[in-house]
Amino acid sequence: MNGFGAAEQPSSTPGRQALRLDEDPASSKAPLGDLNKSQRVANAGETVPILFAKRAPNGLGADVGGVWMQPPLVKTASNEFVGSFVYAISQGEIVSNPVKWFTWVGLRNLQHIEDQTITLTHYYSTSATLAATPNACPLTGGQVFCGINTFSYLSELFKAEVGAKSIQRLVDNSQYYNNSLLITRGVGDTTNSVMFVATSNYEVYDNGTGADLTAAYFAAIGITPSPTTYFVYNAIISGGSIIGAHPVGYIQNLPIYPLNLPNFFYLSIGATGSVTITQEVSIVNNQANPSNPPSTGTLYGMQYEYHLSEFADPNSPPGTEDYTAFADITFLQVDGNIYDPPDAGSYPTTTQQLYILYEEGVEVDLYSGGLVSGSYAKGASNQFVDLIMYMFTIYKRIEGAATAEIAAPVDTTNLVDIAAYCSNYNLYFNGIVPQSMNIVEYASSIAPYFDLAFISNGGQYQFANILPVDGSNQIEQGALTAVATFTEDEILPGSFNKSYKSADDRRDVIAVVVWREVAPDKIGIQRTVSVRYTDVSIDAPIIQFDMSDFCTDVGHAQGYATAELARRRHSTHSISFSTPLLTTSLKPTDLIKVERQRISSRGDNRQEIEWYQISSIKHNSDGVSVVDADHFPVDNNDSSLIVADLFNNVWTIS
Amino acid sequence: MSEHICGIQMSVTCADGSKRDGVTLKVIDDVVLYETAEGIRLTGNTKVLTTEAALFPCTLEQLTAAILKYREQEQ
Repeated sequence: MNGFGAAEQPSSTPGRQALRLDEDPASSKAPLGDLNKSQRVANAGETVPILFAKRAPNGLGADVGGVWMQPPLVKTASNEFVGSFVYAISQGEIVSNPVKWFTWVGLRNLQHIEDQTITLTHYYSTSATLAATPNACPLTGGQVFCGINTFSYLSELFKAEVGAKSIQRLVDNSQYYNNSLLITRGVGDTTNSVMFVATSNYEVYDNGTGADLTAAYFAAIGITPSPTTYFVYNAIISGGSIIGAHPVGYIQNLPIYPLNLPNFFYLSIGATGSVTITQEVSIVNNQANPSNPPSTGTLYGMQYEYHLSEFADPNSPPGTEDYTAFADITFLQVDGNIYDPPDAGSYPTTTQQLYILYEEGVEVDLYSGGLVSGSYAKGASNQFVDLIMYMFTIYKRIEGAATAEIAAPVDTTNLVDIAAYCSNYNLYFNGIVPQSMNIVEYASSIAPYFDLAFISNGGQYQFANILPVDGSNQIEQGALTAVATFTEDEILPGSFNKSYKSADDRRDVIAVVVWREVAPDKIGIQRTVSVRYTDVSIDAPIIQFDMSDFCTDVGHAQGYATAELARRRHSTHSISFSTPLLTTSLKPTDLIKVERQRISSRGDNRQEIEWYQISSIKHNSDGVSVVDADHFPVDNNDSSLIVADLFNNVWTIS
Repeated sequence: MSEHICGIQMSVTCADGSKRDGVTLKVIDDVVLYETAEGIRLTGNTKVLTTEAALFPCTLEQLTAAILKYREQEQ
């Protein structure tokens, strides 16, 4: 910036394209406001998310949780003009089976879509399976194949209208085993309807150079193109004549397999690889056999389905193929016609975005249930502690009960209690971890929304309650007991420092929390809930918290908002002091009392007692421990003022 | 036995210079043949060199493959 000029645009950071794509709101794996949109196709290098959820009763008589997802499309195929669509759902194996009536394509529910033969299937292979047999494609249905060069697709409709043009950009057949099917599209009776393309309306172009290969093409097959030599579509031939035509839905060239050998015909006529073929309809005849009456229906046209593969049999890829990139990922395959609804006479090859509800997410070790006969049960979970332990598991830092407690990255001894606390207050995680995360940063950032802290203590990470709890893992509403009391004798002279929070941080505000609605009967989208102290004006400033990544219960969202507002109202300052080396087990989140003498020049010295919650402890090499703590005020009975507000009717919620 | 018809009502020129009308191009069990209305197979001296008029009711890929196969047979 020069003088009073504006700042120049900063340079871009290189090597962040994949990260930017992951962070792009358009890449969201959770439904956003606009549901009627085209299917998003996955980008190469995109992070496969973790779908972590379990729909369960919330203790108030309602089921909450599960996850609505909008997965990206990773592969498509077409088999006898039935589409197959593969979506990447989650790392790990999803517990729920996909359910048709929990699945939507755009605004159409699959249960009530025109094609009633639609099936939904999960495919999953463990890392061990693929390590042992790298060419064992997890997509075992036979419709879609793992090999990136084994695929099938539909052409656009070649319309049965005089002058209608078809442009087919073919794949290089010299590289692929191949086949192409052809289907009759139309409505009603088409059994005497055919379409003619004069060979003079047929052209071949090389895709690599744009060269016109039409003359070479016809010369190679010995045909003289003319307006009276035709390619005929949809005709049935007998005795050298057209005796009729195919009905709607008839498929020529079945079966698909075995595929034809790769051929070098187009290379032989001068192509450098693949070619584009254009053709134009010359005649549409609805009474191709004059002995029979004209068709009463309408021939819309013809559509191609192309099959290509690097191997003769896509179902038996060679041992050199390596599909280990598919390991430990749950894929959803939808088989059936979920294409966009046809405009009259068109057959779209695109789909709207798929949305699906999973009531149970990825299978994890249930640390929240504790060891049972020496091992952890497995299943879907909605406990935040199970999610973090799962993250450490897939990061290979822990392996269930096989990892000794002392070697675990996280203290496992209190996980059952932490989970019990979360269950007591319906603090559940139902969401999608969409991006590559630093586990510790992620745990530390999300934990407060569950009234938890993720702290480092004694060489391990540890979950700890932020609010005081009793022996039943309920919030302690009665008198608190300080873990330690610090007096002037324990605080090193001159080390005590008290910092009051800024007025801006303490002013009355309205807390708005974004959460995510999950109900089986409609696609879940983001919602908000607004919370304020009843004595706070409705036009007070707003602060917003985004819990939409994991919160599916409005009660959870309200609870966090009230705790945050109560902290802002009652916790006025923080302190820092040094003390001789602490050898106790004092840790962050512990409550302490600090008793100090306030020295007055007037001689009316007073003892000041305040409660604090430790936010950090640093042990220095000079034998001094530095304690940082936040004000945690109590009343005359040593009961927390913050806690009291949580249970008092002092809130207005909208 | 499978039979597939790739060309009908064809006017062709044969290797001996003769021209034939009403020829049918068939693929029978992977063997490709041109056959006149009288049931005469066009092969050897009468093998088909060019087609001047026709209706091709099979797919383009099939037609191309059939003609190339026929030429291979006639070599």
